Amino acid sequence: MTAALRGLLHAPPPVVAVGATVLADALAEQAVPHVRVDWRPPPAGTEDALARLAADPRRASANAEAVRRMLAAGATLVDVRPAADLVDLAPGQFCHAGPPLDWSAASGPMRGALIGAMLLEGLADSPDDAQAQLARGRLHNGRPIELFPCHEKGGVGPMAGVVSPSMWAWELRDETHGTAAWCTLNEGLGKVLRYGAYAPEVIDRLRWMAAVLGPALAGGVRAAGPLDVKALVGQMVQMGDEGHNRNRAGTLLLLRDLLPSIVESLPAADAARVARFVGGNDHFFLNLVMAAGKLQSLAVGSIPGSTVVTVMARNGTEFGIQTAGTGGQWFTGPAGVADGLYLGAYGPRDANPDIGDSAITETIGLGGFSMATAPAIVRFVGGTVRDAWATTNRMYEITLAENPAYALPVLDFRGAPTAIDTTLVVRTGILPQINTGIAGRVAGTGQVGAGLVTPPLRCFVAALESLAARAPDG
Amino acid sequence: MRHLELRSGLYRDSVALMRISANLTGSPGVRRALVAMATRVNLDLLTDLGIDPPGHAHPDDLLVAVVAEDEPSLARALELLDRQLHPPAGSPVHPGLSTRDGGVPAPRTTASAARRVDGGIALISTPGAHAFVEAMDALDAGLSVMLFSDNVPLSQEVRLKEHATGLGLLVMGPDCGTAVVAGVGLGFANVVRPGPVGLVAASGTGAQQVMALLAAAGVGVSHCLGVGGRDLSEVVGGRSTHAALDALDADPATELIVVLGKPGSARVADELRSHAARLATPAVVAPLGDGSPDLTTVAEEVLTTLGAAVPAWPSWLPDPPPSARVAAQALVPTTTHPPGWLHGLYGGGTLCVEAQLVVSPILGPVRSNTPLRPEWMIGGRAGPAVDEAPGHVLLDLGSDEYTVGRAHPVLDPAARLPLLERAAGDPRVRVVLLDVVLGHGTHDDPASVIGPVIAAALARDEPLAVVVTLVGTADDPQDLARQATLLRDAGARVFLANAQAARHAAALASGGGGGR
Amino acid sequence: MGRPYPVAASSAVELVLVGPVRSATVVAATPHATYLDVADPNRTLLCLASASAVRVPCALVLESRAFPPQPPIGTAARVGGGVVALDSGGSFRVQRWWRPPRPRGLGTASPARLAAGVGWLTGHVADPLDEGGRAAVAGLVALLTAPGRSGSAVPVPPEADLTASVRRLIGRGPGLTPIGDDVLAGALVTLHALGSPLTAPLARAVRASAPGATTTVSAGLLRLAADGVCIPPLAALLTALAEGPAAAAPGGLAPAPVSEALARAAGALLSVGNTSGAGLLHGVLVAVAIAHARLAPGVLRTPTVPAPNTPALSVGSAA
Repeated sequence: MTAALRGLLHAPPPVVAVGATVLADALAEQAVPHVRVDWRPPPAGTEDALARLAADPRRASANAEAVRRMLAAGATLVDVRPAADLVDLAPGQFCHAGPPLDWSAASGPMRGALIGAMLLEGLADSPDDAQAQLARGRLHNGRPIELFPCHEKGGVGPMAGVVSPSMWAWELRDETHGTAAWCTLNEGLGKVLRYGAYAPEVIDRLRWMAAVLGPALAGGVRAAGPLDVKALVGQMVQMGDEGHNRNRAGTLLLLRDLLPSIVESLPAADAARVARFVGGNDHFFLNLVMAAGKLQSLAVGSIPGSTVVTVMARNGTEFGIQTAGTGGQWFTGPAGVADGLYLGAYGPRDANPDIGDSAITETIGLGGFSMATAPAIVRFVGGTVRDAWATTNRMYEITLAENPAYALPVLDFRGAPTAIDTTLVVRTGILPQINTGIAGRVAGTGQVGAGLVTPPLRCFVAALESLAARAPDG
Repeated sequence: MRHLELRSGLYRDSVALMRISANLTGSPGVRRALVAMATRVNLDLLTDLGIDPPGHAHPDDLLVAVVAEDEPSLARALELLDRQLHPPAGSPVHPGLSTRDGGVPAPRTTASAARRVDGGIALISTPGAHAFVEAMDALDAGLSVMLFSDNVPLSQEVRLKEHATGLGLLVMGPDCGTAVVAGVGLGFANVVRPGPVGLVAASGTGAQQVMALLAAAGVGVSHCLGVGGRDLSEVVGGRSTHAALDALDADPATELIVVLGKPGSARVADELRSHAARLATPAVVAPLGDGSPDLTTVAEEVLTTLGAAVPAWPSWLPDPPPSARVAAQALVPTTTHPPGWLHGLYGGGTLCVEAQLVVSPILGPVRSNTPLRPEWMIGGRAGPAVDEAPGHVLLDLGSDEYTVGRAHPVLDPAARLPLLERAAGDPRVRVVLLDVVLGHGTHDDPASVIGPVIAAALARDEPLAVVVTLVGTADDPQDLARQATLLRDAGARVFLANAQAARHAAALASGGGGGR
Repeated sequence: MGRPYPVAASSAVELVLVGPVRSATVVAATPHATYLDVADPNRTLLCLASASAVRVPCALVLESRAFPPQPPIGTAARVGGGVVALDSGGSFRVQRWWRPPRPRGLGTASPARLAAGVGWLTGHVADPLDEGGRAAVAGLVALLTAPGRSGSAVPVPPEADLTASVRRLIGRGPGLTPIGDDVLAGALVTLHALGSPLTAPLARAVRASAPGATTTVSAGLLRLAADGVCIPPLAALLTALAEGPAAAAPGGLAPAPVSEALARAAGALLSVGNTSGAGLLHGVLVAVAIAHARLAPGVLRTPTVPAPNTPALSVGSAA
């Protein structure tokens, strides 16, 4: 026998009060335990779309399914291979980070990276030659040059995220859902392709990575057996990393797991060089976290009626998002410039707009969303430890679930805030907080700082309207 | 001197802002003050203050405009404003209250807040366009809803109530001003003792009147569940009413159920009656309309059904009748009063309707903005039309056209006073009738605000009578007896029962003695 | 003095709160509750409680989970006119009323259903009394279930005997509410819920015996139990007991599955106080044993569950 109205009339009820403060004050006057909502109206013009979605009978179960899949997704490192084996790319076709882009709109680092990729693939004799072909949109032999978002080719790329067939990449699998994802290997810090550098040393390094590093890591992975990356991420967030801007512990955990088999399979000098390369780059593990995030995103897939955000990515010019209920459609807006701390003599005028697929980490509850677990990050992005804590707490307001696999000790092991709900972003005006490196505006400058940035609200309003248009009538 | 500024990043609800504006205006040396969100409507109001609207203002900005005598007065006013906008945490507003839950910031949506409670109710009073989303949050989280907001589209009301039915929850409202659940007052609610009567009410002040009468008779209330004014319409189909009936029937503490309704569609009314008849708990169905008993009669019927004595309903008269026997005869005035027009200034919509139902058979046509007959309609969006309409007029000042951009009279008793003064200034008006409603959520001392104006009005040369319906219980925070005494000492004739007040007023307006 | 704290008051103590101002004394204080003994003819007990305290039927409940600084024991106070004012500072104004649970309707539950629930409770919950307490309970149950002279439907033991028996339980135990008192309180509330004719005589005996025989707080709470009102966890347990398991086991050999609600309610009640919850729960079992002794003796024994430490039940069924 279920109680009428779930037992509402049995005892004085607790109250959630939203709206006029005088009514909440009246509750306090009566000694009624209550929770006040700090409410403010959503942007003008969004009320109808929000109401349509609130009324959509599919939404609750669609979102519950999206959450279930996102949390259930696994991430296992199974191999390291050339992009040619993982991505379908003909000569003249390249992947890049963020939403669709063409050369004319591309920023400095993106252009530099594309030039470098042309050189790496032997499609141009010189940077000028590469640039001319890219600007024309056509190779010398007449084939068109085509650019694809990494996301649309089953992978992710950091910063410029340019991928060409000769570059080596991690291959990960989600055994729960039977899907796969890739991310290129991290080149290191300083003058690197992903920041738009294309000098001969950059190309040489990429060739070394293809000839030595990649196969070494591949050998190590095959010898050690599949590596549970999800478990490593779960450990790193308990060691002060947040998976986007701070990956030091994750890098060391990876090295610990792979080093024995690398030592066994390589001559000592090569093994040492590989170990030095990996160990000397605090962000080496970032690319694995990104691939694991891509797997969580792929697991959700397309679910009609779901308002969960599945992709957040930037190409240095625009910021783009996707939701589960709108499939592969991109909703874009201008990419912002991160606000933070600059290295050396660099300043805001040196900064490129936000760039990279690394916002996939925030999409799955890491990075800026887990800042509270990585308080040391404030030394790099600015603010206080209290701000980091407040940021994570704020992110719980726009997400639907907490991921127990990424439990944050400082919050009493509360799971990372996961599954961003488009409607909650628009209703509250709280934008997903991204914690990122800042690239130099001029190609090849490298990292000029680190800071905090948010997507433009416009992306979420556009997605909201598209979702509302798909909701059933009345 | 004039001060104008815009502050961004602040949001306060309109009721809070009206209070702040009023407080600033009352600050010494301040002539006028306006604190409001910078919407076009509000920017237009700046011309009244003799201030030019600013160039770039966004509706999300907070507009602050002050006209003060001098520099120190302005400074004081702005300081007061800061204190009101940003009360210090743990301020003496309420001792022992924590504004934060262990360092976690306040929730920003009803969905988030609902995770911090274990079942219960969401009390929603956002502007109507946004209420639906918050209400769906609540239902999806397993909370019943008290929807205080008005201007909620009918289609959304239907959707909410369908969803609630499927989840076994209750939606009270929209436009539900009063509810009491296990003693917890929601919205404008009087303090009641636990007792055997369970109310289902379409309106706020009607329920408040019945609860006040029952309290005066020593009978308590288990719950008062509001269903909103449209629940019994054909489209909504009485969903909330039916759910409320079943819940009260299952409640062991409820021994008698009373349904106070606005008459809805005939089909829904029939279903309601047959449902009420099937309940294990006895039920009284009392729609308020032509030919139906007034609320006082309903309360008396309830008491009789319970076997409780019907008391002489409290009244506080400046010239009480000499004998109890006369007092019992509907308090017919003992002094003759020259006949004239009756003007009613009501904050409570149902009380206004009840008054019209009582008064019209005695006095004939009664004009109103919520009239009994279409041909008796007056007023419009332009504002009060009291001086345009001859004869008897009863206004519902809580109705939309009077509350756009202004405080509801129940919250701000001063809102009606200009109309009271205007009526007093018209020698053809002989009787003014108004309601004063007590309880949580309303003004904390309405009699102090209204009393002086009543006294001033009664000081005019021509005879005038002021009759007041005072709705409240002995436990209400405003102290019922003190409010009644203050009003009586100002010269008003005060009644707990609106039907009696209306009858008394009609008798006065028709020339004293005479009709019931 | 500061603004008064708003409190929600139980209607069970309405009279003393709204009546004329009387003096009162603080008799006990815990981190979440302060007890006052009021000098009215009934020696009413009041409890100023935080929102996280157990909601006793005489509680004035604050909104917050924290409690304002506690007054020392012996502090004088004034109660009346809707206000409780402590001489040491701080006053509390009644702004809302709530109704304490008054469980009823257990009497209409079938004996078999009750037996299933009681059997499970007996098998899963240890007897909280010591040897002396068990003997006292056994004596009380025997007295209340003794067959009467022929012709009397439900025999009521002589008042003196009942009072003497009750006195062996009251005050037994070290706490603020001695365990013997808790057992009696649980039994009284349950007898009320069952609608047993033995309720009134036992209530009379308890009211007469309590003052002076136990702590002031416990005497006050016993008086409330004698009126049939109780704390929410006890009411929830009695509801779960009345509603019984979802369905009987097929074949009738194994015991019927006990409802999750009963197990949850028992857990919640046991976590009240140090031993108070256990005492109240034991009182429930005692009351059922008393009320149903008239039925076939075997009805309270479930065949396959061993019933350790249940002298009350075995005595009842031996009658």
